[in-house]
This record gives sequence, structure tokens and C-alpha cells, in this order.
Amino acid sequence: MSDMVYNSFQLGTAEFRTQATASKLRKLLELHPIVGVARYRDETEAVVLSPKVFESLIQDQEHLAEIKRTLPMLVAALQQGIAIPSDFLERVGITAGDDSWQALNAFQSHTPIYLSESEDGARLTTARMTPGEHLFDSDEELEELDDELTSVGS
Amino acid sequence: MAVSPSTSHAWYPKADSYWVDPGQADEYPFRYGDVFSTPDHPGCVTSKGQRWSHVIILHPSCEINAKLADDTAVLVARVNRVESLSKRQHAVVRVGWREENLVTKVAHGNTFWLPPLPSQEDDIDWYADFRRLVPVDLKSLVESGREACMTHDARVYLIRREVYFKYRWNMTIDDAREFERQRIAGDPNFVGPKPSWD
Repeated sequence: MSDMVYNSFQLGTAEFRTQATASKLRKLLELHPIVGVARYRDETEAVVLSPKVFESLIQDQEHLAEIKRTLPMLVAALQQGIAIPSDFLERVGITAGDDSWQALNAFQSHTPIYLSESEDGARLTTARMTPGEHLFDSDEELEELDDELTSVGS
Repeated sequence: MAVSPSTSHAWYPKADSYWVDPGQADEYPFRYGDVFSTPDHPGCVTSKGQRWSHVIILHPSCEINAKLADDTAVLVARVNRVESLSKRQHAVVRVGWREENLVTKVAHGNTFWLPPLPSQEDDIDWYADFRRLVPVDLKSLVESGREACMTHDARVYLIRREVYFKYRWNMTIDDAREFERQRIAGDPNFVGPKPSWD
């Protein structure tokens, strides 16, 4: 969290409390998540944010910082053809953005996929098989002999 | 038609290659992979008593073509809406795999994704569930009506996925297609148009 934003927020809260305007401020923020404080009509001296908007700004700031940190590494990896884990991309906000069946079907049917593990994490092997000669099926149906066997045994 | 070797392990073909054109479907006998309206059968209901939307034939083709009898038991699996699953599973079921830390894993191996059926007016997609199986009599299945006739191309993908689910054998799609090509070539009872790669 940014120290500057954190300190400003704390200062503003204390001021409003001592001047008994906290309840008025809370009502204002319920209606407007961002409230400007101005001495004159067109001269905004301060901006008061609802806790929700403030938290969102902090998160955005942290997100931007992470993108700035990782962008050079991502570009280098792409240039080298190195794969990047999808959960990492999601964490920095890079997603496919469209999981419609049309988009996914087109992607998976055009993009080579190499499976390496089963659902349980077991190593997946792919054997090349050579089909043999055709075996002809017999049309003979299975005959149940339960009655006969019972009568023989009894 | 020569099919170039595919090195990809993709589980599904393109959506527009799944179903035979309804105008030509009558030329194709009922076969493994065809989707039917749910027959009147006590096994084709959810645990809450709700009737399944559709069923898919998982029965060997030869049993349906060569041994027609009204009381022939045909194995079918439930076909359900992808939207009925939790949202985080939609994409995984639609591709059949997931990636975790650069490892690609088979995902929900008991499912086979299906695009909308030709008779549909909306674009709802489906999945067949290999764990929801019921043997139904052929007569009631025929009476319920076929809604989609699967192409030979898509059937090979279904075979491959079901083999993986049953035995954990990861056949290549080329091997699955070659086995099916040879099976069809040697089947004296094969009825209907043959695949283009035969």
C-alpha cells in the first residue's frame, strides 16, 4: 500500500471526526463514492473516497506495479518461445477474455496440444499402434446354460 | 482422402464437423455417437427425478446394424448442458484438458464435448457423460427419435476419448482413425456412406 495515500486517508478521517461531520460524510459517500472538497465552486482542494473505491485504487496500483515488474520478463519469454503458466498470466490480468464454446473449440482444434499427465497427475504415455489384420466376428450368440447346470447339479 | 498425420493431442474436432447434414441423415443407420431424445426409461432420470435432455449411443455399431431386434439392449449415456456445470468448469469441459504450472493434464475424462445439435435453434452446447450409462431397448430409443447423426470424423474422436476414459490409453487420433478405417473396410455388414478416409 502506498504510504502517501494511506497517510492522506488517515488525516482526512481524523479531521472530519473532530468537526462532527463524519455522519454527513458517510451519507454523502453512500450516494457518491467519490466526494470532492472545495472552498470555492471550481477549486477542489481534496477528494474523499469511499473505503470501497479506495481499496480498489490500491489494488489497481499494486496490479500496475506487478505488470511493470513482469512485463520485461514476459516479452523476453515470448521472444524465446518459452511457455508461460496460465495462472501467472491470469494473475497479472492477461486472460483470453472469451470462453465461449465457439472460441474454445476453434482454439483447441487449431492449436497443437500435447498432454503429459492424466487427471490424477500420472505420466501420460502415447503409444504408436499398428493395426493388425481384420478379425472376423462369429455371429454365434452366447447361450446361457444356467438351467441345465442347475439341473445337472441337483 | 489422405489425412495428414496429426501430432496434436486435441480431444475434439471442429464444431462444424460433428453432425451429418440433416437432409442426408436418413442415409446413415443408427450408430455409435448418434444423439437421441431421451427414451421413456426409468434409468434416464436425474437423482431428483428429472428426465435427461438427450442420450448418446455408446453401443458398438455392429450390434445396432446387424442384430436389429426390438428388445436389443443399446447402451446410451446422458447428454447434458455444459451450462449445468459450475462456471469454472465450462472451459475445461469444452477443451478436455487443463494446464497447471505448464503441465497439460487430461481433465474430466468422463466427458465428451458436443456442439449444438442440428435441430437446435439456440447455441447451447453439451457434453456426454461416460459415467451416466443406461441400457435401453432399441424400440423405445428409435421411437424417441434421432436428433443428430454423428459424422465418421467426429466418431473417431469419441472412440478415442472413451478408450481413454475406460483404459487410460492415450491413442493418437491418427491411430484411432486408422483402426476405424480398417474395421469399416473389413466389416461385411457395414451400411450407409463410408468415411472419406476409407
